[in-house]
Amino acid sequence: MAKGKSRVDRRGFLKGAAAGAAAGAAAMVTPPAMAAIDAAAQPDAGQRPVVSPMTPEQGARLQAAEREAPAAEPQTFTVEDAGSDFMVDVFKTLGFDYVIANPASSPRGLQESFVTYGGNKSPEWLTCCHEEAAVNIANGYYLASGKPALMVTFAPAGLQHAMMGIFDSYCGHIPTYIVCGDYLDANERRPGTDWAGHSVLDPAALVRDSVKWDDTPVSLQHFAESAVRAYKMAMTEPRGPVFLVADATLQESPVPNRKALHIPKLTLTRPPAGDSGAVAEAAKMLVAAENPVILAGDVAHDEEGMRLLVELAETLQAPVQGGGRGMPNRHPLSGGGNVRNADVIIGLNEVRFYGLLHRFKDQQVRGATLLTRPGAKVISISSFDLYMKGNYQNVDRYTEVDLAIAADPQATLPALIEACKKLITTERRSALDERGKRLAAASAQTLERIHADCVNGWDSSPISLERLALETWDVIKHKDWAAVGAGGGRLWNNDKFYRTQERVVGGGVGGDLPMAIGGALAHKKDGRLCVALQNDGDMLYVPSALWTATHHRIPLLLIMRNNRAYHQEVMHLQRMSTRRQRGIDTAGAGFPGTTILDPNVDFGQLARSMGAYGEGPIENPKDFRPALLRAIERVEKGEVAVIDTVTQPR
Amino acid sequence: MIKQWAFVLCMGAGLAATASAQDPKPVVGQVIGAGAKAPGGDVEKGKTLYRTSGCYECHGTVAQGSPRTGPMLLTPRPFEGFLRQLRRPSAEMPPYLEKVLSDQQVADIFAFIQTLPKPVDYKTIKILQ
Amino acid sequence: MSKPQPSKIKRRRFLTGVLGAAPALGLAGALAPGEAAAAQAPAGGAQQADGSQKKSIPERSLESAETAPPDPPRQTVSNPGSDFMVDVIKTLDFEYIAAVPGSSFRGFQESWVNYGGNKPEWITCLHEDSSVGIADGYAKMSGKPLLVMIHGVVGLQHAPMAIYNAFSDHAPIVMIAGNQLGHSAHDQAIIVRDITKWDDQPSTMQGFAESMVRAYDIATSPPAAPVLIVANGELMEQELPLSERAKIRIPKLKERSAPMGDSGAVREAAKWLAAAENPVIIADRYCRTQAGMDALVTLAETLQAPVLDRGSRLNFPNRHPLCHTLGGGPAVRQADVILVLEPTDIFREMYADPDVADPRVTSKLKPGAKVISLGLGSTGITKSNFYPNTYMSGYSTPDLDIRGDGEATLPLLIEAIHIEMNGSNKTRASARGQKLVEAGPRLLENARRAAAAGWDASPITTPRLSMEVWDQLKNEPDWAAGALSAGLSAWPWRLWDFKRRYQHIGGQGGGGLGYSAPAAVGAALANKAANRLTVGIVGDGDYNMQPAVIWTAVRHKLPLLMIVHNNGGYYQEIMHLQRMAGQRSRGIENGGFGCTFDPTPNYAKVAQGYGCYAEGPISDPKELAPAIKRAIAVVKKGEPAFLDVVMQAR
Repeated sequence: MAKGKSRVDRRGFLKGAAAGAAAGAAAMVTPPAMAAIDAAAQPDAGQRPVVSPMTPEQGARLQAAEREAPAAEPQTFTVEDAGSDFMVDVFKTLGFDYVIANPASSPRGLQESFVTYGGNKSPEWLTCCHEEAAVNIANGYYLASGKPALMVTFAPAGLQHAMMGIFDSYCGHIPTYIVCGDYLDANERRPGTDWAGHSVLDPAALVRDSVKWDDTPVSLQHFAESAVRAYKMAMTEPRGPVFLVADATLQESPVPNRKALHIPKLTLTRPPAGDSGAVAEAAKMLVAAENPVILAGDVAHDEEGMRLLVELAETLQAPVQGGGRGMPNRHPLSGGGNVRNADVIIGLNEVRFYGLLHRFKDQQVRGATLLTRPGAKVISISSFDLYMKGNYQNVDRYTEVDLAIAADPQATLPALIEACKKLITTERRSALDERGKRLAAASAQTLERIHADCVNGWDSSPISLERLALETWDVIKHKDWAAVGAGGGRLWNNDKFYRTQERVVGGGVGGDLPMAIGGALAHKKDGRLCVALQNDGDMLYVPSALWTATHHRIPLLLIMRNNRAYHQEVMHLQRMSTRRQRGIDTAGAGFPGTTILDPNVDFGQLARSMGAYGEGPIENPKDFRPALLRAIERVEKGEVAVIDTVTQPR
Repeated sequence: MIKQWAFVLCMGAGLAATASAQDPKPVVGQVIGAGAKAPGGDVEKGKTLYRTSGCYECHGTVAQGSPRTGPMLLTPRPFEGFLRQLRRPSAEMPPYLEKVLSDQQVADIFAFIQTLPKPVDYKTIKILQ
Repeated sequence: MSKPQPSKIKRRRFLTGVLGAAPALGLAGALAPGEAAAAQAPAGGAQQADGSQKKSIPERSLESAETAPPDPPRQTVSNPGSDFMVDVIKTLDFEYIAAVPGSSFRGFQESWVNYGGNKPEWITCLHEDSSVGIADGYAKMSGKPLLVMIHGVVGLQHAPMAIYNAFSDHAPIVMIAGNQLGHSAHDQAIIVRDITKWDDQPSTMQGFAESMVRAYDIATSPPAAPVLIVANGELMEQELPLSERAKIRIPKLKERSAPMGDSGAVREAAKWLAAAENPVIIADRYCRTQAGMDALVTLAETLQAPVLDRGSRLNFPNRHPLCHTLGGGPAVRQADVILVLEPTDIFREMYADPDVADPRVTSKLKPGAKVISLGLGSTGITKSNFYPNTYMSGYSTPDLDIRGDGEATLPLLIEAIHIEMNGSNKTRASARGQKLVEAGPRLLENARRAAAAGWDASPITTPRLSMEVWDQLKNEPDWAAGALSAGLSAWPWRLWDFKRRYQHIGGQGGGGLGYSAPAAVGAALANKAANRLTVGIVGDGDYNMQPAVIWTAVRHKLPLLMIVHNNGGYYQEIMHLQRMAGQRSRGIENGGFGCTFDPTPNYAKVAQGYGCYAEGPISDPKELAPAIKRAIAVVKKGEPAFLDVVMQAR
C-alpha cells in the first residue's frame, strides 16, 4: 500500500485535549482507489468474510494507486514549525553548551532542529562514532566545566551502546543529560528497521537502575515541563544522570499551537546541609581529637568547595586523604595521617569508606580486618545517603559509624568550620598548630621520598611511569596545564581546582579517552594545555573518539601508558594461577585474553589515521622528551597529539 | 484504583464560580436558561430522576451536599440558574444536556428538591456544639 | 565478605547428601553406593604390566569411599543459620514482626519462636497486602518500622500495592522475603524495585548481618520508605557452627541525622515570610513527632500566618486559631508568600487542573505570589517509573526550593524569622493575626451549619456518623484515628478536636484501595501498649479488598473500633462513570454499572465470622449512639469491635 503521509492527524494521536473533537472527526480517509477495493472486499452482514484474490481490475487499480497520488488527496511533504524546533527552544533555556551524539534516525528531527533552527550554537552538535564515547565526553565535560552536557541517542541500540558510560555517570554523580529517540506510535514505524531498531515501550527501563530520573513525554507541553524538571533532578544533590525520551512523532509533527505552549522556569534546588546539632557534635569530636583524619571523596563542586575543604583542614590542622580535585595535593596537610592511629576519622562523600577503614585480603580466603584502633570515632557526612537504588552495588559495603550526617558536605562545611572555630581556644590552637607543623614535615619528607624513589628504573626500557610523569611535569609546569585523565599524582602539583578531574566512576574500562576529550573541550576556551596519561587498553575501546577530537579541533595531549596488556587482568590471572600452583607464562607469548601483543598496536599510526599527530612507539626514555616537545608544539597549535610511549606495567 | 482528589474545600452554600477567561462563550441568541420558569414539575418523576441520573451521588439522597463533591441544594434558588448549571456547569460538575435530561425532566427534579426537608438549625443539635 | 572455608564436603558426603535428601528433593533414581562406584570407575590410571590399571591415589580413595557403607544422613541441625538471623534482628529496634507464614522462611519462623522466644511478638496475618498495610499504619502511628516477613515470590507478588502506598507515603518498613525451594528467583526484588528505597540479596550470614542493619538505617532515615532484603532459605536451614558465628560481626546502627535546609536559603525564606502581607503556611507530609507539631505551632504564631493542613499527616492542631484549613481556597488566592512544608505535589498547590472534558490549567495564586518549598520527599526518592502517580503531576517552579527535612529545618527557620520580626513586620503580623483569629469561629460555624443538613436522614449522613462517634470519643482519655476514609468528606477534620500528632496519620499515599482497614489495624497495634482507643472508619469498597484483616485484630486483641462506611458501592468510580456519561450525553442512569454492591454484603456477619464483636447494618441514625457506646465498651475490655453503618455516598 502506498505510504503517503497518513491523514490520521498525528497531532490527533498525541494531542492535548483541545484538539480532541477535531481529531475524532478527522478519521482515516481512504484514497478513492483503495475505497473501491475495500468496498469490493467487504463481507455482507452476517456472512463470514471471504479472503479472495483480487480481480485483474482491482489489481490494475491498485497498481495505479501506487504510482500516482490520488487526485483528491493532497499529500503533505513539508512542515512548518516542527515539534523538535520547540524542543530546541526548551533546551536553549537550560544553557547547554554542547550536544554530543552519534546520529540515528529516531532523533533526526531533533538533530536537524539543533543544527539549523538552533544555529548549531549553544548548544553545538558534536559528532561521535560511538555512544559510549558520546556519554563519556559529556561526563568529562561536566567534570571540567561544572556544566551538564546533552547527549542524544536512540533506543534500544544506541542506548545499549551507551550503558556503560551512563553507569559511569551514575557512579560518578555526574549530571549528564541523555535524550533518547523512540517511536511510540506503532502507525509511524517503518516496517523492520523502526520496529526492532527504534521502538521500545519503556526505553528508560534499560537504564532506570542507573539514572536519577526519567520520563517519556507524550506532548510538547509535557516535554517542556519534563525537560526542565530533568535538569533540576540532575543537579539536585547528590547529582546524577537523567534520561528523557523524545518521541520521533512528536519531533517531526508540526507544533499544534505555539501560543499554548509554555516553557517553565528552572529553579535549582538548594542543597541539604548537615543538621546543626550533629554538626556541633562532629566539631566537638574533631577539635578534641589528637589524631584526626579527613577522608575526602568527591566533596568540591567548584573552587569554593576546594577553598572550604582546605579551610577545614587548616582550622583543624588535620590531614586530608583523597579529595581529588577538592584538595591541592602538595598542600602540607594533603595525603598525611593514618587511619590506624586516628582517634577521629571523618568521611566526606567517601564512597570507599569501608575499604579505607579495613584491610581486605584478596587471598584464597578473602576477609576484612578493621584497621582503626579501639575507641576510634568515625563520622560520616554524605549526600549519597539521601539517594540510592538497589541492584547495582556501587553503594559499597556498609560502614559502621558513630555519627552519621546525611547532607551535602560542601553545603555543610561553612557551618562545620564555624563550629570548630568556636571551640578552639588559644591553648588548643597552639597544640593544633604543633600537629600541623609535624604533618607538614612528614608531608615534605614523603614528597621527597616519592621523588627519590623515582630514580628506580629511571633509565629502564620500557619506560618507567615515574620517568614519564616527571619528564612531562618538567615541561608542563611552565604552562597553564590541566590533567584531563590520569596525571602524575603527587609528582604534578595540583594547586588549582581545574588541575585534575579525577572521579571514582563505574569500574569499566574505555571511558578515560572520551572523558579526557570532554575535559579538553571544556578547557578549550581558556586555552589550557590539556594532558592525560592514557592507557592502551582503555584507548582501544572507542579509539574513534580521537576522530571526534580532531574533527572538532579539541587540542589534547595524550601520553600513552602502553604496557601492551590489560595489565590489571594480567595480574588477576597471575594470582589465580599461583593459587592453583600452576603458573602462567606472561613473559613469553602472553596469557590468552589479556595481553595486547603480536602484533603491537601502533598507536601513533592509529592517531594519525584519525587526523591526530602521532609518534611512537617510544621505548627508550631518552627519546621521550624530544617527542614530548614536538607533540606539545602541535597541541598548542590546536591539534590532538598521541605519543605512544611503551611503559613499565606499573 | 482510587486516586485521592485534593479538592479545594468549598464551604458554605452556593456554587463555586471559577469561570476563567477562556470559558467558551455561549452563542449569541442562545442564552441558556434565561428567564426560564419551572414548567410544572412532577415530584414523583423527579424523585426517580434524582436517583437514576446520579444526582444523589454527589449531592446526597436528601440534597444535603458534601464538601468535596457537590453543594447542598436546599436553599431557594431560581429555576433558571438550576437549569443553567446542568447545561453548562461551572467547576467540575459533569454536564447534563437536553439529550439526556429534557427541560421537563429538569423541572421534575427541581420540584422534587423543593419537597426535601430544609436543614434544621444546627444550634438545636446537641452533639454539634 | 568472608568466603566459606574450602569445602569439607567430600564426594562421599555429597553423594550421601544426594541419597539422604532424595525424597525431599524428589530426585528420581538416586544411585546406591555400589552403582555410584561403578559409574565413577576411573578411566585413567597407568596401565600395569599385568594389564590391570594401577589406580592413582585419588581413584583409590574414591573407590573406597564409594564402596564403603555411607554415613547415615544427618537428621538434625544444632545451630541453624536462622538462629543467627534472629540474633541480628534483635539488635534492631523492632516492637513486632508481622507475617503470613511461608515455607521459604520456615527456618526463620521456627527460630523465632523456639530460639527467640517469640520476642518481639509475631503478628499473624492472612494476606501480604494486609501485613504490609498493617506495617504502614503502624509506622505512621508509632514512627518506627515493623519487620515484615514475606513468602518468596508469591507472597511478594501479593504485597506490591501496599508497598507502593507506603513508599509514596514515606512510611518506614523493613521487609524480608524468603528465597527457597519452589519460591525463589534470581532477582526477586525486581518485583518491587521501583517502589522500595533500597533492596539487597545477601548470600552469606555476614552479608545478612550487614544488609539487615543497613536496611533498618535506610528505611528509617528521612525520607523514610520501605526496604526489602531477600534472604536465602538454605542459609536459614543450614548449620552455622558457633565458631563460625562468632567470627561474624553485626554492625552497630547509629541513627542518621536528617539534613537541614541550606542556611542561606532558610534566611532568604525567612525574609520573604516576615515581610509578607499575607503569608500562608501549607503543611502536607511534614509532621513526624510531637515536637515537629509544636514547632509548626511556634512558626505559625511567630509569623501570625494561617496554616492549611493538607492532611497527609496531622500537622497542626485543627482548633488552633491559626488553623485555616477550612478557609483554604481564598487564603491561597490572597497570599503573597506561601511556604509549603513537605509537599506531596507542589504543582497542585499552585495550579488547578479540573476534571472536565476540556481542562484548562489555571494558576491558583495571585500574580507575583512567591512560593517556598521545604522538604525532602518529592526529590528525595525519585523512582521515576511511578512518579506520575506517586508525588508529582505537572512541573511547577517554587521560587525557592529548599531541600531539607521539614522537622529538622523548622527551628532554624523560626529563629531566622524571629530576627526579621521587628518594626513594621511585627505590626503587620499582629493585625493579620487578629483578623485570622476573628475569622476562625465563623468558619467553624459554617461547618456546623453545613453538617446539620440531612441530619436525620437515612442512609446516615457522613457528618452525622462522624459526630456521633466524636461525641463519645471526646470523652476518652486517649484516642487516635487509624484511618478515616476519604468518603467521609473530611468531616472529622472540620469538627473533631485534633490536638496530638498521633491522632491522625493520613491516608493511602499511593491511591491504592485496600489500605484503610489494614492501616487501622496497624495503628491499633502501635497503640496497644498504651491501650489507646483507635478508630478506623473504612469505606466498604476499601474494606472488601482485605476483609480478613479484622481477624488479626481479634487474634492479637487490639484496641480497635472499626466502622464500615457502607454506601453500597465503589462510589468514586460511580461518580467517574457518571461524569463520563454526562460528558457523552448518554446512559446517565448507568453510573452504578460494575460498581455497585448488589447484593450488599452483611459486613457485621463477615466480621463475626472472623471472631469479632460486630453490629449492623445500622441505617437509623438514632441507633448510632447506643451502638457506638456498646462497641467502645467492648474495645475497652480488650477486644476489637466492628460496626456496619449504612451511609450516604459522601
